[in-house]
Amino acid sequence: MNTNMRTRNVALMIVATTVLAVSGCGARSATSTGSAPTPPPTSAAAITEPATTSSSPSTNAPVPTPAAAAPGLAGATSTTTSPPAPTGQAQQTDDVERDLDQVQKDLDRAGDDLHHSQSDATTDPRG
Amino acid sequence: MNHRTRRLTLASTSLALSGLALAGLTGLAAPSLAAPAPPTTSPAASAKGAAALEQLKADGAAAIAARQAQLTKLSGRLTAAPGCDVNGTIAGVVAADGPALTALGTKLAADTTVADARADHQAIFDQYRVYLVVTPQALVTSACGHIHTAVTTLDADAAKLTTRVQAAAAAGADMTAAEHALADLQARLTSATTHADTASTSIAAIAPDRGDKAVAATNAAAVDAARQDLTTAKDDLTTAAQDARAVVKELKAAAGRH
Repeated sequence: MNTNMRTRNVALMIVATTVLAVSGCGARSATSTGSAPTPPPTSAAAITEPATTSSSPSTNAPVPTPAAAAPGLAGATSTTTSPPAPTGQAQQTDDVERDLDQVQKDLDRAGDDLHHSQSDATTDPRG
Repeated sequence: MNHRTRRLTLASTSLALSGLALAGLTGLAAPSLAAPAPPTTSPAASAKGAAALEQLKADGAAAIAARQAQLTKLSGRLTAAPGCDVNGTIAGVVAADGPALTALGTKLAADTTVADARADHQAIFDQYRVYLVVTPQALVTSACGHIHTAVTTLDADAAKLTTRVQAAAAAGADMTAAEHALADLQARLTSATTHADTASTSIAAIAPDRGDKAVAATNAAAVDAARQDLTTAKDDLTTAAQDARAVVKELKAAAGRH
């Protein structure tokens, strides 16, 4: 009975240690000196950099938890394929679209000048 | 008898001298006393000449006024898009022609002969060519300036889009179509700039023909070529803008997939 309970406790400890290791707590605790855990990264770069340089997803490399992800990346399941922050990209593409409207106006003016350069030249056949 | 003959001779000499003096004052050839020439113009012809003189003056004044209004318009166009008139060559022509035409108009208004008036009247056209040379020069240069502005804007957009496409591709998105569109965009910008600069440079080199038909023909060919270059540049930029829109669409689609 005692032997069975000891065996069961050892098994539970192994499972708990494995869970901690997979969740990243194990990796931090391995180098921890017993002080409070380091705060989660707050910038997108701090989050994405380790993930994009990681070559093997099956290692014990720390994986950011959803709670630690930046607001713009909330809900992302993996940072390895995440595009840049949607808000920044949307802003940039909006800027480009506004610029393209301005370009169209410039081209319209150029076409208008070209048209006038032909019509005005025939205003007086004497030149 | 001798005295009488001498008095007659003196009288004849006096008359002849009077005739010469009169001829010198009026600028006419010395008339022969023996057979005076008939007047060169009849009263009717003289009245016709005066009418022609006034007609030349009136037509010239109207032509000058129309050209000065055109020059004012051209100046405004160039001011709005000066990008291709780097040295101010065309703006200088436009600025100089107005006062020069004013001076020509003053000279024409003071002419007293039909021949002088006719020469000054013709100079309004041959010497300035406000419509045949200066107008296409200013408007083609202005159009080139607008194209340069559009190129600058699209160039900045291409840089932004390139950064976004590279980031999306690095993140695993398929940006092949966007990359092709960006490459075409860059090529179109280069082509547009080359064609616009060619148009601007070649048309700045032409000058009023001053009545030389060969020069007039060369000018007309240069104006046509410049317009063709600018049309090509404009088409290039229209396609470049379509490329940019296609890249934006691809980026939005890639963002939507994640």
